[in-house]
Amino acid sequence: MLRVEQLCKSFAGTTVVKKLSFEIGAGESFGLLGPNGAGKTTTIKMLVGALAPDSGSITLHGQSMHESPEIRRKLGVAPQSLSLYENLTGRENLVFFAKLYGLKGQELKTRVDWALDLADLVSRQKDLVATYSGGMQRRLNFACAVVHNPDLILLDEPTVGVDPQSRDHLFRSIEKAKSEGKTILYTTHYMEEAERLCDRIAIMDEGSILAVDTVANLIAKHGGAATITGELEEELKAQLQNDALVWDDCQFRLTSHEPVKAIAELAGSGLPFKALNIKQANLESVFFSLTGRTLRDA
Amino acid sequence: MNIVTMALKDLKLLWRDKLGLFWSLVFPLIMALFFGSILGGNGGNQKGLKIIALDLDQSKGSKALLDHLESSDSVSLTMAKADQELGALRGAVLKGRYVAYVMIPKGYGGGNMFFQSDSDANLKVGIDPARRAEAGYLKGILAEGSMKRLTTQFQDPKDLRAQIKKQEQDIDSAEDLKDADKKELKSFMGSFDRLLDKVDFNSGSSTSTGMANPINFQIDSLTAPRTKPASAFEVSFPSAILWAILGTVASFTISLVKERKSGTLFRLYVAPQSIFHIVAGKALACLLACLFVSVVLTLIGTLAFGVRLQNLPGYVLALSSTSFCFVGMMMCLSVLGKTEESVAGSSWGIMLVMAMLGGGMVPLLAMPSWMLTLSHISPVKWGILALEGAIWRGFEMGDFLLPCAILISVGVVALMAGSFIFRKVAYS
Repeated sequence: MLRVEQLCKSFAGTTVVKKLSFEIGAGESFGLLGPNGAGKTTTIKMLVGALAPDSGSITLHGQSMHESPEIRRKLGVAPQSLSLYENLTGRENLVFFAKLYGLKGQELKTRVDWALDLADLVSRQKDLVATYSGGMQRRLNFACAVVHNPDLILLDEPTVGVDPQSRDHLFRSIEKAKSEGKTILYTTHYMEEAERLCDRIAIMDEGSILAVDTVANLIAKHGGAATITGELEEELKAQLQNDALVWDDCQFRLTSHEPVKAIAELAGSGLPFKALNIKQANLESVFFSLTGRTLRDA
Repeated sequence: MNIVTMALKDLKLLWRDKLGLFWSLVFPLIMALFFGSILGGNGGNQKGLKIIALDLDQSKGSKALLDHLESSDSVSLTMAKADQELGALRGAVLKGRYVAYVMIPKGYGGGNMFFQSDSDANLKVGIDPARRAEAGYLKGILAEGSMKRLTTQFQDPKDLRAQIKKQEQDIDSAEDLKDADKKELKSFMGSFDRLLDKVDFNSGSSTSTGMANPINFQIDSLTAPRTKPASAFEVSFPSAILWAILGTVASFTISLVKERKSGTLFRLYVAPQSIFHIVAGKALACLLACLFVSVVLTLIGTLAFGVRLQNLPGYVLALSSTSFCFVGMMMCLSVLGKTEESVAGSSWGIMLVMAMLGGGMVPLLAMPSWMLTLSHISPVKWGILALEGAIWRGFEMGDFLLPCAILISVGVVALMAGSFIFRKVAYS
C-alpha cells in the first residue's frame, strides 16, 4: 500500500533521514520506534507531502504522493503537536477539517458525530477547544485525523503528554481503527506502545532504519539472552557453584537463552535466595543491541 | 470551495479574537473621533458659516436683517460691495470661498407687509443643495431676522400707519382691481387704522403677527466639485479606515504564524489542496475582513458624523484597491519571522512607518511639501488619497486611476513575493 524508497533529507548540511526504505501492507499496523531526533517526524512530514525529500520516492497505491495531491484524501494525520484551532469548538474543528477533505451534507454530519463519539467528546462538542484538558485535546487531535475515513492513518507520537486514562482511550481507538482494516503508521519512542499496537516495527536511529520485523522476530534476532538476577546472604555465596554468575556484592546476574531451565537449576540448589528474577529480552534490549544505547539514553 | 471554507474559518477566528477586533474596529474609530474632534469636528469651519451678503436694498429693514445675521455666533458675514455683480458672488461660493451668498433685493425693506407676492423682493440664497444642514440653518436665521423685523413694525404704530397709508395708495393706483374691491380693501385698512388706537403696544401681546410664511426665499442651487473637506471627520475617517485595514492585516499576519506554530498549518498542507488554496483562503478572509471594517467605519462616519460620499463607484474602487494592496502586504509581512512576537513586532513597525509617512498620523492636507513628496513611497498615502478622492476631493473616475493602479500593483507584487516565500518556508 505505502512504499518508501531511498528517502533522504538534509537540513543545513545535516542529514536527518538517510536512505530510508520500508513498505506497509494494507491493514497493517507499522511502527517507527526510535528516540527523539531519530528522524521520525521528518519522515512523516515527507510522507504527507508537507516536506519535500531531497531524494527518494513515496508511493501510495502505486501513485506518487508529490505528483498527485488528490492521493492525500486517503491520508489521515495526527501530528505530534496539538494541531487544533483553540478558538473553535470541538465540533467546529471536526467540521472544518472534514470539509477540507470534501465531506458535505449528511455524510459530513454523520462522520463528525462518529468522530465526536470516538473521541468521547459528545458532551463537550460545543465548548471551545481552549477549555479542553490536554487529554481531551489529544483525543480530538486523533479524531480530526480520522474524521474523513482515510485508508492510511499516520500517528506521530500521539500520546505525548497524555494522562494514563486518555492514553488508554487513544489505544482503544487505534485498535478499533486497526480492527476496521485501516492501515496505520505509528511513530513513538515508547516501546510498550509499539509492542501493543504494531504488527511490525522499524527500529530507527539517527535517520536510518536499523531493523524491521515483527516484535517477536526482532527480539529473537537482536534481543539477546534473558537475564536472571538474584540475591543471597554473604555466607551462602560460596555454596552456589556456577561459573556463569557475575557477582556484585551479594547480588548476582546470569544471562541465558533458556531462562526457565536456568532458574530451575538455581532453585534446585535448595539455597534460600532473598530474590530471584527473570528479565526477558524486549525492544529495549533490541535497541540496546543495535545501537549500544538505551531508548531513554538516546 | 476549500478557499471559502478556510476564509470562513479565519473570519470566525477573527470575530472571536476580541483583541484583534479592538485593533481592527474600535481603535480606528477612536482615532477617527479623536482626530476629527481636535481638528474641528463638525465645526470644520471654525469661524462659522462663511456667508457673503449683497444688500441692494440699503433700507432700514435690510440693515436689520444683516445685523441679525452678523450677530449669530455661527455666521461669519462678509459684505459684498454694492456694485458687485451677482455672478461674482456665485463664483465665490462655487470656488468654496464661502458656504453661501445672500442677496437682499431692492424693495425688501419697504416690501408689502400685508400682501406678499413672489416678487423680486424675495431674499435670494445661493448654496450647494448638498449642504442641506447649512442651508436649513441659514434659512432659519434669515426667517428669524425677517420675523423680528415684522414684529418690530407691528409694535411701532407710526411705522404701521405709514405702511397702511402706503397700502391705500397702492390700492388706489392698482389697475387690475375693481372699484368694489378697492372700496372693500380701503374699508379694511381704515378699520385697521382705527384699531391701532385701541391696542396697548407696550403689553407685548401683539408679537404674534398671525401671518403665514412671512418670508420667501429664492434658492440658487450652486453645485460645484468640492475640493475641501466639509468637516474634519471627512479627513479623520479615511485615515481611520486605513488604520482599520492595518489592524486587520496585523491580526491576519499574526494568525498565519500562529497556525504555523500550533501545527494547524501542517494539517492544511496535508489536506488535498495546493499551497495556492491556503494562500487564497487567507487572502480572501483578510480581504473580506478589511472590507467589512472599512464599510462599518464608513457607515458610522456617514450616518453619525456627516461624512458624505461624493463618488460611490470611486469609493468602491478605492476601498477594493486599498484592501487588496494590504492583503498582499499581509502575505509578505507574515513570512518576516518565525515567531508571533517577531512577526507582530516587525509588521507593526513597518506599518507604523508607512502610516506615519502616508498620512495616517498627519493628514495629507496638513503635510509640508517635502513630507508630501516623501509620502509617495507609502501605500497608506495612496489609500487615503483615493478614499479622500471619493469623499471630498471631488475625484472623477479618471482621477482614481493613479492611486488605485499603484495600490493594485503593490498588492500584486507583495502577494506574489509573500506567496513565493510562504511556499519556500512551507516545504523547507
